[in-house]
Amino acid sequence: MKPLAPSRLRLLAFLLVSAAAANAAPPPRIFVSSAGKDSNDGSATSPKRYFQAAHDALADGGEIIAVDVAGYGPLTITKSITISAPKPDSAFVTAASGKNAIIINAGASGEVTLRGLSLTSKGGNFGVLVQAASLVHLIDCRVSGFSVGVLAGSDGLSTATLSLSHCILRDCQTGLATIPSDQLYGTIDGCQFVNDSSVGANLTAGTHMAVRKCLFARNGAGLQTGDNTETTVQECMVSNNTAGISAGATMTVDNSTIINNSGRGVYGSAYSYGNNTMADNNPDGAFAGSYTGQ
Amino acid sequence: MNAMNHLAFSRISVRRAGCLLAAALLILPATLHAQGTRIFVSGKGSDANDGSLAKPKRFLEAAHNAAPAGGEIVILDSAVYGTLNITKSIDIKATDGAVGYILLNTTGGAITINAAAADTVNLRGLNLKTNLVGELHGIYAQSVGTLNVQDCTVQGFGYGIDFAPAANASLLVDHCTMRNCAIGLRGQPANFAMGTIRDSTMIGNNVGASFTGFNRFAVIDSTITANGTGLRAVSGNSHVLLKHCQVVSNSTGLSSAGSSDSLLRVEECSVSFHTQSFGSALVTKDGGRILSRGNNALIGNHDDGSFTGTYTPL
Repeated sequence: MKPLAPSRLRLLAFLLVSAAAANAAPPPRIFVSSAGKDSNDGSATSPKRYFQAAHDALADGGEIIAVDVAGYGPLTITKSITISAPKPDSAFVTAASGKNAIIINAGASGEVTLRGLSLTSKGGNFGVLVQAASLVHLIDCRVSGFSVGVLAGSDGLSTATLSLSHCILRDCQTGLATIPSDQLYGTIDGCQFVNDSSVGANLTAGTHMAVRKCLFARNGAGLQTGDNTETTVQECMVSNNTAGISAGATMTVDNSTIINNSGRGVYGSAYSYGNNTMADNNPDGAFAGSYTGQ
Repeated sequence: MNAMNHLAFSRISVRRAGCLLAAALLILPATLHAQGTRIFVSGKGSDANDGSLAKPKRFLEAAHNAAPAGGEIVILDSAVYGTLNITKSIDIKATDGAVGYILLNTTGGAITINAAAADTVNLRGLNLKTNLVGELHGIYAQSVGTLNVQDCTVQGFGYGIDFAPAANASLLVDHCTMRNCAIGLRGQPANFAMGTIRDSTMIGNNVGASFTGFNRFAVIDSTITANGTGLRAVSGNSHVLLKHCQVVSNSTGLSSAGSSDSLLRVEECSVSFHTQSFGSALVTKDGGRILSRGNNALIGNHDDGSFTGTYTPL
């Protein structure tokens, strides 16, 4: 075979480098698996092992898919991303005592979706710590054993959005805490706050939250809101807590049940649509007033 | 030259990696111990295994004994996992799609809980069954602080879920089915029990749910059907609120007896189609109370019976 001329060698080298550069473009979808390796490329047939390596290799706006049952390791999220586990209680992130499971620091425009993750700890700090993101959506996630299950801050952002769908936050000191630096808007739908020793959900100043079809049971306080908050509560069960609902600012309560709390059922600025049930609290307390549909 | 440097760097990296690997191996036993808060079980496992994901144990009892207090047991695949005696805080869960079957073939309980009064027990994704007849228990909580039962089916026992804790305790039943038991769910605390039953079904039991002693329960979004008696407060001081439930086609729908301290509150429910000539939708005696919020439907009953009073929404 005739040897290539030097100029052609240079061309070949250029082409190879170009091809390598093209391959190095971060992929939009990365798979992780118990049998994977972080040195793999993250394709379905060559999955990575841990979330952090997958995140680091992923394109902004990309998706990580957890294939099977495994612990996928704590991670820090710094870009828009979706992490999906097809089955709840299969993709675990476990935080050691004093550590965090997932930190979200995705910037002013970051959008993060976590689906089907189980975040567990015995004495960890935060299950999900939102430092910065424009939108965080947790779906079918289960968070247990942390000081705070989900802590939603917004690190200087003027507005941010938080959405929790069908999540279980239990056996924490506080299940959910919001501490926006300015304004946080959001929805909590179909979630359970159970056995959180301090507060099930603690919404502080600047939080505007719609809470629907949730269970607050066996917590210190079930649902607690602070000054300068707005909260709508629909079709919720608030039972067996030490204190039921404590509204630091305007809250509407619609078709909800507040029973069997060992302390006060309702306290503060909670207004009733006139279709709630309160019984067997000690004492029931009273709504601040009523509101009418419009 | 660059290639040479790269090669030299690679050698260093390999050597460093070797050192790291050696260090990692030294650390490994401690790490494994630290990670032992989660024990895996599988139909293909062995109790001689360490319970790691790669080497799961076979039965729940061995996994429970290997797990620390507050640890987790993860059921990897559908299999029969043996009966279990729980003595500490534990979190047992089947990954979605897997079912942990527990068959009781001897006397006693399929799962017996004798934990401390401050302990929390979580059970998820289990299917408990027995073919024997007698005083058999599916989940028998004798001592526990908080018991959460989720996505479980309990079938064929004398008592499906028997909540009889020694000290004050709390129960949450979520998305469960209790069927073909003498009593699907029994609240019979020695002292005081409170709880929530949510999105669950009690079907084909002699009694769907029965409360004796000092209970405060809420039953929401649930179906109580084809039982001898759907739900009853028997005696003591049991207050049960039923909201948004279907209480349908039992011989007797709801029953409250013993004294005025037996109290059922009913709202947004259908208490219907109790057609048997010897049964009623609502039965009260000995001063037992069943109160309506005025937004329930009672149709197609041989005998509606009657609410003893109303309560008003707030």
